[in-house]
Amino acid sequence: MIAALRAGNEEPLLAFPMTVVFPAVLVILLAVMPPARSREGVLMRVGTMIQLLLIVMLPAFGLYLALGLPVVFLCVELFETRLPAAVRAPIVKLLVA
Amino acid sequence: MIDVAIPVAFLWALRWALFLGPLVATLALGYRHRHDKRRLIGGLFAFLYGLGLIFVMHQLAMALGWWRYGGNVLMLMGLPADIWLGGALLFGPALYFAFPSITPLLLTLPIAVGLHGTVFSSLKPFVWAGEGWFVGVVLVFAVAHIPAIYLAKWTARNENLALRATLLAVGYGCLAFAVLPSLIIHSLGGSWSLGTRPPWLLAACAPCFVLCMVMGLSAVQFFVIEGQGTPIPLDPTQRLVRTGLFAYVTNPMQLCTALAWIVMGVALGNFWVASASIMAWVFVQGMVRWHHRNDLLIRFPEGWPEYRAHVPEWLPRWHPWVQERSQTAYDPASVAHRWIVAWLQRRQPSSLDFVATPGTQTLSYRENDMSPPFTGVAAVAKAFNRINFPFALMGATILLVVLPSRWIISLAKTRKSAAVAGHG
Repeated sequence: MIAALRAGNEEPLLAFPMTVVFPAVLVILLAVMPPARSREGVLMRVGTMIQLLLIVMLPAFGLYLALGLPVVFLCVELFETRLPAAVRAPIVKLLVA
Repeated sequence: MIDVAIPVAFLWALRWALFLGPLVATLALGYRHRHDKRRLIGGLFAFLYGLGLIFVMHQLAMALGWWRYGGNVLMLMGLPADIWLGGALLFGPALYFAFPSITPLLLTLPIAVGLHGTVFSSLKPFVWAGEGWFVGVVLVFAVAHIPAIYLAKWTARNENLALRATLLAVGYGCLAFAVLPSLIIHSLGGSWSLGTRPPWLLAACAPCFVLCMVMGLSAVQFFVIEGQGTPIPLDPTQRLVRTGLFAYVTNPMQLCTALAWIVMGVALGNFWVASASIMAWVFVQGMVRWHHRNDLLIRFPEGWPEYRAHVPEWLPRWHPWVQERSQTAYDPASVAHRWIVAWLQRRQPSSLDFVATPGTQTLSYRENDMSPPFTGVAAVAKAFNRINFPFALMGATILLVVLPSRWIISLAKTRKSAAVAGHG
């Protein structure tokens, strides 16, 4: 951002609050929210946080990642309802415990 | 009116402040009200409503030449995305959380007149004010900002259910059918221009789109009438809604959204807009099913599984699935009543009894003890719901016109009689 400013490009500076601060605030909000009632709720929250972090880290793909947010919920649903318990249990232990 | 030259550096700082200021204010004030769940939900609804309506109203303002934004950072169809989000936060949750008991009109009037009225034309090159810009500002406040704060207030107080469901439906419509397609067009290509599209195609798409809207709006109407709640799970219904279009398909709103995106995609000649319907399916598979298991199944442990076993998610049934018999009362001495009843009986409606009640002035329809009775045209429209899906859509269209019209007329009558009593 600083290099861009030195080169006379103020775009990253102007975009900073929206592309970095806002998703980061959303991640923090999701992290400090009261505990979810179900395991699926926790996984959805974790999935959304990962998606938001990806938006911050890959600004060129930010809009595509934001539009694809429902896929996170589908992944959690498939994970919870279709994946064999033997595969699911260790992953859940890693993410939720 | 002030028109001064403001340094560009100050204007860019202003742009940061216009986004971060409302964001910080919303977070801080929201934290203060963190134990009042309904107030926080009200703030969220106000933000979402503002997001949809501010976008649409600014597009209108720019199309009419009231103003345009300078710069090329974070622009979505000529609107800076950070200013847009900041506006939705400020004229929604931030102002409501800060002044929850002040009337939204009084709250926003000083800002509309005092701030916009004085410095709006001084914000070049950030904003270029055009001719008639003040009319545009007033319109944005009247359509987007003031209703957003009212929505927050009514949700927090759990009042004016019909109006807040209407605002939620309007806000959702703007988000789903204006903002999301704009984002898709912005990121994947295409345009909103219909000028080059064949007129016959647009003529075919228009009624299909209207039909989709009828399906979605009717679902919202039944959530209010039968369910005593809104379609948003954060402000849920008190009862399981199984009548209206819900007797044919469990997700009429998602079906409406998915079909409308396909219709829009065809009309615009944009594959990506049409393929957003896949995202509606993804949303149902992921989020809606989770909500069904974790909310509806818990609140309605007997009703929900039975309903879900009989009513499909996407492809509507031809005949309704009805659990309880309903009644249509008519006057056997009335020729018109007899004719309507005979016409309905020929179409063999499901579980609908016709009860001859001498002296009945208007036809009336009653679903069960819990739901309100429908009279006159509305009773016939409700009876349509018991025939088959096309008739149910016809009935839904009639109810969408008749019930709000009656409500407006009764409101006008109440105000008139109150005014007369006041003068008396």
